[in-house]
Amino acid sequence: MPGPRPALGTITVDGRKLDIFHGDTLGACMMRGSVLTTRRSRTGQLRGLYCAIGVCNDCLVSVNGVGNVRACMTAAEPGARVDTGQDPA
Amino acid sequence: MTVPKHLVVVGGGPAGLSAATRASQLEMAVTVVDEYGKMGGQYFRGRQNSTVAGSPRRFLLESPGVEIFSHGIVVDAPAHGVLSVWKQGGGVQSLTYDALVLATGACDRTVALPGWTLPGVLTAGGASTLAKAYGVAPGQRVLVAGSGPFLLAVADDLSTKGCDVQVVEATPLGTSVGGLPMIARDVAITRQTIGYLWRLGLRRVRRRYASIVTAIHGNERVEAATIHRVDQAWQPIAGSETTIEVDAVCLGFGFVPQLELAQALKCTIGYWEETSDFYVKTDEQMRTSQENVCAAGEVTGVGGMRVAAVEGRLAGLTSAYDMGLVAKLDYDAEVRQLSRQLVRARRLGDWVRHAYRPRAGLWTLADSQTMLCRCEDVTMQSAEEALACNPATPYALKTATRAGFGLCQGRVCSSYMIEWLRAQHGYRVPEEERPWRVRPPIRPVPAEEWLTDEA
Amino acid sequence: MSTIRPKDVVIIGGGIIGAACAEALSRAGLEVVLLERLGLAAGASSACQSGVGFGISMDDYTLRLHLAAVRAYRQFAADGAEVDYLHHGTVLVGPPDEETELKAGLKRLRDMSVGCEWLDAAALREAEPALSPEINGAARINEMGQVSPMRVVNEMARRAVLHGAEIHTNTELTGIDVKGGRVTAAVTSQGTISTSTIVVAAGAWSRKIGELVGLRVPVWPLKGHVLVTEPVPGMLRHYLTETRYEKTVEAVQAVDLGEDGPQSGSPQVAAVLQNLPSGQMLIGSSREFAGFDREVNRNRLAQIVTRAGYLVPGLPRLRIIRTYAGLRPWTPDGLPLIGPSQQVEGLVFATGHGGDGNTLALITARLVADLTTGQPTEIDTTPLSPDRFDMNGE
Repeated sequence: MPGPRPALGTITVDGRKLDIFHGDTLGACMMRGSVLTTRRSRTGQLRGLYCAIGVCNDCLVSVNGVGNVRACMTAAEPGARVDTGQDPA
Repeated sequence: MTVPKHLVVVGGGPAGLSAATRASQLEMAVTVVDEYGKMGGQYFRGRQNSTVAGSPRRFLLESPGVEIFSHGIVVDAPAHGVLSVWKQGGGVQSLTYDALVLATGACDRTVALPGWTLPGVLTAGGASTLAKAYGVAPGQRVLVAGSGPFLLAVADDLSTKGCDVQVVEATPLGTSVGGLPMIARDVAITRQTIGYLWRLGLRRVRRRYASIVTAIHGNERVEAATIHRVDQAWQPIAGSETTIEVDAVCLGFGFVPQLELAQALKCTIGYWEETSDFYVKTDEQMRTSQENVCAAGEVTGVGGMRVAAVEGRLAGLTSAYDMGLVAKLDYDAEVRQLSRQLVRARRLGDWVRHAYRPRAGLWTLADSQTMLCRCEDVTMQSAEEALACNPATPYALKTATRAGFGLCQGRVCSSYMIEWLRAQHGYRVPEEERPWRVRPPIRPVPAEEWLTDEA
Repeated sequence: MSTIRPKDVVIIGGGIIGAACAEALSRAGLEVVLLERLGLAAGASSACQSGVGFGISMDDYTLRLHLAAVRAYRQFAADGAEVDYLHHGTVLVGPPDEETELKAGLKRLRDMSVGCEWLDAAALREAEPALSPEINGAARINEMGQVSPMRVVNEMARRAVLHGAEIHTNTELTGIDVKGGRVTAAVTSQGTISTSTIVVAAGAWSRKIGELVGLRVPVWPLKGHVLVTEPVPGMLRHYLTETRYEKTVEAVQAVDLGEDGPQSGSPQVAAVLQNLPSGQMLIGSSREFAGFDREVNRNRLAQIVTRAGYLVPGLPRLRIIRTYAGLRPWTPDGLPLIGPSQQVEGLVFATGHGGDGNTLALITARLVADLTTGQPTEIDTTPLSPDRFDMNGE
């Protein structure tokens, strides 16, 4: 198993800083930081990553103020501000 | 000097890359379109160093002239010979093709059961991808539940990361034991299987057979799961339940092909009732019902990486032949050779699909509060109520409940809906089509990038 | 009209009109059978937008019909029907040179006790922030709202069944038996049903039904496109449209009616926008005659997006998740056909609603129930009589 990789920077998720590693998606980074909740569903249920390959759209988060972003398919850029629990309809 | 014929391959997994390689060797101009930045599909996530047939490294070595359109999503097939491909931040491009290979792969089969929408519940494929590509696990005590040898791979991926893993397999132990003679004929698969069993044994990963997870519990995330022993029809046996504390569940009940593009192109879709599998119908050389459109890999029937690589090669060959770039004698000879390889490669994949096929009990796990549609929050209760006045068809259920109207457009719930209607309400799948209408755009795309006003 | 045998009506068409009629007639004590060729709401009712409203340049009669229709919905929802009814009003935008005309239209509405007002720039910014800042005033008509037509269909079907109605989907009407000038049976793909009353509520397909009894029903398909966006909850607070919409309705009213129906002229596009309760935005609208073709025309979609972008500048960058086209049942005078036919006794029409099927569904059902059971109707139905058209001749 390879040794520990260096962190490439951080993203902020709901105000909390998480390290990013090379190639991370937002979803991977959040999961590593044990942030499992991504959004609230139409009737207010908590949701998180489910399919992890961009199909289900349950991993939607808001990134730098833009909503409906798939965490599992979006590269984690240093400095990104992620907000979870996007308002349901 | 003639312009080379252009082949577009949609999907950069083992099937797509193999098709691209063969076609480019036969002098076609090839473009591979894939949603990801790196090629290899799901199989090669985290296996970027592999050089087997179908791998990205082998592809790059053997086909330097192929154009790679990464981060490209096919959003429309507006006319014969044209695809509209969206690159986030890069607008929508029209890609014209003389020939097309559909290699859009598969995704996990959806199974709805109580608690399946809790944070911490992932598909087995998703968990495997996260572990292999990013080295993350959804929890510390993980339940890997479902059916099929892939569960062992997922359990291996997660236990390697240090998780405390338990496996729950719906078929009895005898099913897997019965596959050993077939596995034994393939050296690589044998080594892989022995590796899994050895490591899982070392790490004391508990495996339960003839069992299914019947409920997942928790408030804000997974906290526990209930497991029942099941009979041959996967019906839970009353009184056999046990509840274990876990913080993540990975559900793996096989894979279903991603057929939206094939449907948008009006390719004939078939259905194997026994194993609950839709697939793109092809002839033996991988041609679909649409002219100059071939298909390869999981979309023609889930069969695994090896089958995908050989089918891809055959599809690339056929595409070139149909463009007049290969002499008939050479074509026929290579087809014979590849067909023999296919027969061998398909044996294991077909056995897996059959042995671990969903049984009727799987479609009874959901209760009235279980979500059917995750996007629109439609419960199974709504579905049941809708059937009082509606025929038991996916279209009717969709219209009556709004299941399938959300962002994913039914990619998650439609397969479950179809199987539930079949198993519980006598629905019969129609001939030659998948009963779920695909309308443009095939994937969400910004209006102003997709639609240009020519007025 | 002669008395009908009680408890014996066959309704053709399981869309919003047919389902509402099934509910009203079964609630009135009649034995009702609803026949639907495919599934409930398989036609325009699942391929439309969701407005419950009216046009401010409608003539007095038509306006009163629509006002009664809109109020019927308010009551329906107030009584507890769960049909995603939203009563948030419509913001109607027009070009500056139409402001006077628009305000005059509002005055006329107020004189009819319809709640409406003019919003100046400041009020508009507050009422509808997503609207283009270049729009400095607009009308808001508070009576209007929106509803989910599919939910209405299913709710009405459910109630009809509770009142004893039978619903047969996947059942096509293949013939109508007529003896001595009156209906005696409905012949279907699943068997024959003896009946003395058949209600034709088949939307754009009503002309085909009429052919079964040698009538040329003046209903033709008028195609409309709709786009659906990703969820953007709360982006719009009202139903949003523009004065151009009514002009498009008038333009397709004015086409020549040839031997084979309306001659297609240029397609008409006008912005009609609304947020659904589940967050997606529906974007329309377009009108064109294209037979029964329901394939989406991407140029038309682009034209709709351009139009809509003038009202809501943030709209064109939203992601589209689906598009579709529906077929409105168009009539030559823009009014539906509601009521019994003199040509064939027992034949009742409830069709030809054009783009107003949603709005007029509940009131249509009430009128059909009253006309069929010999009750006085709440409004004069003469202008809606099917016999205003000559349906005879080969």
